[in-house]
Amino acid sequence: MGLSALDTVLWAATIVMLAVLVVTLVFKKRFRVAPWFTIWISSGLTLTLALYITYRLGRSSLYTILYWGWAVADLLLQLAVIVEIARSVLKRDGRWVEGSHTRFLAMAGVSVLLSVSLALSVHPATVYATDTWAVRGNLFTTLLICMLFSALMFVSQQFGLSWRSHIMRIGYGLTAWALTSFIVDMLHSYWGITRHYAQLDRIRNFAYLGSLIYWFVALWRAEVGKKLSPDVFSRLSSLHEQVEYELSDSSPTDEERFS
Amino acid sequence: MFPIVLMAATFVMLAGYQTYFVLRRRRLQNQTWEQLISKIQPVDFSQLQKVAKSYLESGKDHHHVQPADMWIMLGQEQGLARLRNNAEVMLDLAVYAERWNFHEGRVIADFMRRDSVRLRTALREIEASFANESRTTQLHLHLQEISSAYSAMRQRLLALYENANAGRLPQLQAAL
Repeated sequence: MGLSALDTVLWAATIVMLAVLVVTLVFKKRFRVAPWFTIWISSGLTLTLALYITYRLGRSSLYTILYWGWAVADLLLQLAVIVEIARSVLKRDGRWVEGSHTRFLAMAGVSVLLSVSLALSVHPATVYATDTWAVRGNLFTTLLICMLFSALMFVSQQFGLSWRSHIMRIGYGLTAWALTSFIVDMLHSYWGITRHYAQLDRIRNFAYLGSLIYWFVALWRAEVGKKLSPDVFSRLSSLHEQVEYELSDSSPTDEERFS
Repeated sequence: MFPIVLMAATFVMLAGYQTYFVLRRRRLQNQTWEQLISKIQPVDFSQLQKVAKSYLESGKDHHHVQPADMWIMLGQEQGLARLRNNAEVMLDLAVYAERWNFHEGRVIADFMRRDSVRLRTALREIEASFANESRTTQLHLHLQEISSAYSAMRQRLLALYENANAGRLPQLQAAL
């Protein structure tokens, strides 16, 4: 199996950047802020290396098994990263901000339904049914990630929640790559897997490489802001709960409310 | 052809919203305190306080301000739109104050967020009742909820500025 010079460079650059990012996450202790992101990037490094070696050795059946096995694991890990971001954004000092997670879950449910419907609506020009399902599977993944991240942005905006800078940047990188993948998968769904397939996939790979470089720079830098210490939080909480108590004391009684 | 048009529309919506979110966040980070405070719209706080007080004295005689009067005292639809706008600005002002007092600013912003959720829920209830006349609603309870939540937000924000940056307190008091 042949590999063009451009593809070889792209593959090598991706492996190098993945390795650099793993070192950054470990060396700078960013894995504490984003453990699932660290697992996702580390598994990406291992499997990209494995795929490259398998490809070079010409083991096409093993390559196919690895590729599709990884695709499923990759989707699950990306969902774990989204949940990790959601927990960071929608939780304050260990507690969900009231009403935020239920709204996010409702929007996530709608996102799953929309992604499935849109992915099933496409009929790409393919010869084999497996290729059709491969295109639909990829489309479903990228649609779901884009919609979930948009839902998270929407809920955080509705509740006026600020984001920790590293988490925000992980999200930016993920969504930039997912939106590019969405365009690629949308065109694959129209043209099938024969026309412009390799060129389009290169665009996706360049976008992934771009996100890796962005994550490296963003996570290497120090985070803006700090976490609140428990004693300060407790002191200020009691002060403001007092204000809340004084106000709630004046609320109408249940009897009045339902009269 | 239809599915690709549908997906292109989905892409435009998702990419458009995400771009808007990023730009809005950046604009919020870059704006000055003066720009922020200029967004506060005038509200007759003494009238609002009377409605909030009818909440406070609900055990005694909570009907001493009639719902129709409350509606006028809060400035009707325009007044409620102002309260919604000001609630958002107050939240931004609390987040801004994190620059001077990170810990307290963050905690107070969280408490104000809860008040703002109460305020917006009550506003939505009122809007829904106007959109659907068959829907029964206890207007006076929602108006009292709005006044109470707004007063709490104002009180918390002023207390935060008293500790974090007292120099700006008079200007803030005047605006609110």
